[in-house]
Amino acid sequence: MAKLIVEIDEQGNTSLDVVGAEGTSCQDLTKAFARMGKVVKDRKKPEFYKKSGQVKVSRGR
Amino acid sequence: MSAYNEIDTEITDRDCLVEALQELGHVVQVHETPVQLEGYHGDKRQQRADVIIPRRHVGSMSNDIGFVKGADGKYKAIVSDYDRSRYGDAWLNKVRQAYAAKKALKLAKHAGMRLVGHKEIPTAKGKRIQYVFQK
Repeated sequence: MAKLIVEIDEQGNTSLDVVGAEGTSCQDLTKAFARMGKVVKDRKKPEFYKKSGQVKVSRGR
Repeated sequence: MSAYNEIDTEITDRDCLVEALQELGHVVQVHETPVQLEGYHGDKRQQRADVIIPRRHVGSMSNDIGFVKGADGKYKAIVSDYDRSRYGDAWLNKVRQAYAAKKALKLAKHAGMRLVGHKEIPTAKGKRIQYVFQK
């Protein structure tokens, strides 16, 4: 199950990290936090570009 | 008379601000409409605030500390020159951090998320707060 990690530094800056979600489902978890303040950086992890529910297929020769 | 300084913050939620100040051990007065701050002689100053730490709880020679919401919806901290030595940037950063922690918990609760982890990580400058939520 996906987890949202919220970290608040010594100056009160907040960073969000979604673990265990693929595709745009991570944004469902972070959108609730839009009212925390101004977003200064939005970095998408490689999992964001995977389709949710995608089946990984290996092909042998 | 010690001049007041206004310091910008990103704080918008009064309830979370009050909870944060109380968590830091402050006595807080909340007014529905901003009232004049008091200087250390009991004199009324022209600066107004709706969230106030009364001067007697700031220090023996202190002035009220206030927070007032600006037209942009963000609170400004109002701290006198005299009190900035104790209630300067380091203190305001603690307020910002405590506020962010309260706000994160509130937003997560409203979004139906469950708190499954909480850590406070000591650092050279204080601590980092980490929450883990699941929906």
